[in-house]
Amino acid sequence: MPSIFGYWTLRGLGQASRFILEYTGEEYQDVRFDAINAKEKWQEEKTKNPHGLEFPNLPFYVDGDIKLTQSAAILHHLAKKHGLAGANTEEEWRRLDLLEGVLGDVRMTFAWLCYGCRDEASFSAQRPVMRERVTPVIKQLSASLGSKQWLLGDKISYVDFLLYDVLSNWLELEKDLLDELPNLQQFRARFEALPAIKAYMQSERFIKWPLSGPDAFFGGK
Amino acid sequence: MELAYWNIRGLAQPIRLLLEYTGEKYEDKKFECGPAPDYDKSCWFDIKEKLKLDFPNLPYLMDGDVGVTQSNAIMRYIGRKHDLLGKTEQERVRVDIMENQAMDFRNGWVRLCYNPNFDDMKEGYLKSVKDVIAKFSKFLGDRQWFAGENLTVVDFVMYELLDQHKLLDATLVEAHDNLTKFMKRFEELEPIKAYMASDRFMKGPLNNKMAKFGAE
Repeated sequence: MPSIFGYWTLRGLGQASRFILEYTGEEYQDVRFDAINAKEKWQEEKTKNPHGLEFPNLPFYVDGDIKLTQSAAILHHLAKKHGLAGANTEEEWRRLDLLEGVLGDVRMTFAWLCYGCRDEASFSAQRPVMRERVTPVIKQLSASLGSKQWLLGDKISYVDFLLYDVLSNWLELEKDLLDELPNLQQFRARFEALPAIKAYMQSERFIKWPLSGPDAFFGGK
Repeated sequence: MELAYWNIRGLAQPIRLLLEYTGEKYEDKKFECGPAPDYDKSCWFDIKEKLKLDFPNLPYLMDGDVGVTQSNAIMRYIGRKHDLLGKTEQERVRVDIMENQAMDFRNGWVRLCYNPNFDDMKEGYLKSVKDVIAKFSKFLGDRQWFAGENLTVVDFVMYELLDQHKLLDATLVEAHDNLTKFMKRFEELEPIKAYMASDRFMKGPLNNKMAKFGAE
């Protein structure tokens, strides 16, 4: 039986998992909830809770007896299931944990900016502040990748899916973000050239937009 | 080992509790930011780039040559050393869920504490957090610890968050017998008990000086 992945019809916290599901060829049902026109559909499902989730929320993932919420918990599960969690060494675990945390911060900075601003004036004021906050971290990520293919080295792991997704969000807003960081540009091209990812991104299953929910000032509409 | 953070409980308190519980020898290095209105952070910014860290940030943990940042990565690092990440697949999945669920809980809480409109927002928060805490109570059920039979890193995080919420409104936790017992069970762990009775233990502040709640 295919697994079930449930999320809003947008990229947001679900996209990295969708990329992994596509990359690994896992047979899954991509259940989407419309955040703009039919938000109540999720509210109803949340109340009824047909899958018996302990913390009903989006995204969720159901695979037989395994019922998960929390995007990072879903990623960990998919990574373990498909061998995308490194080589089981202390050093790699440490690196995965660290990068996951850092990429979470980069995503949060983007979310604060997009969801925290109510109007053009506050958005214009906050945008350079957040750009200044995220720029050094993007440089650290570039240094951390170095000349490697993927963040852990030769083998792709779940944090690469997070990195690609987080960079994509930021690039929609700050087009020149990677101008002086060619290794991150190459990383993006490498990711997009993975055959399963390429096919997915060309298909109608792939959501280009919106990045965020309708409450966001940027990326939501 | 050296743990470095601001002179507050904040993100470091669960790490401090974990280091004490596991009996790791550590130095608890604390940075202090300046007074209002500037909250000068130069004591940290002056050394930030000089450390051997790929992503310099607070808290950080130095263990010999190994430098770790990101609070959850630090918790997992110590947790792996002492087998506190769950002993069965079921427990490990529960650790994953709880680690992130607790982070959501914390983010909402910190947003409130640091919000200039704290007084206006408090009532709404109290209302919504009741449901959040009820879900944690249900998730714990009649288990000893959040993952199951075995103590794991997420118990340290949850203890701290529940304890902070008791300072906002003690009835939030008192409404749930199993959470009350969980907290008591945690406080009775020998090394935790000794730590809490010592002068190393920090009762406050919870947050940095610019916060509207927990800054004292």
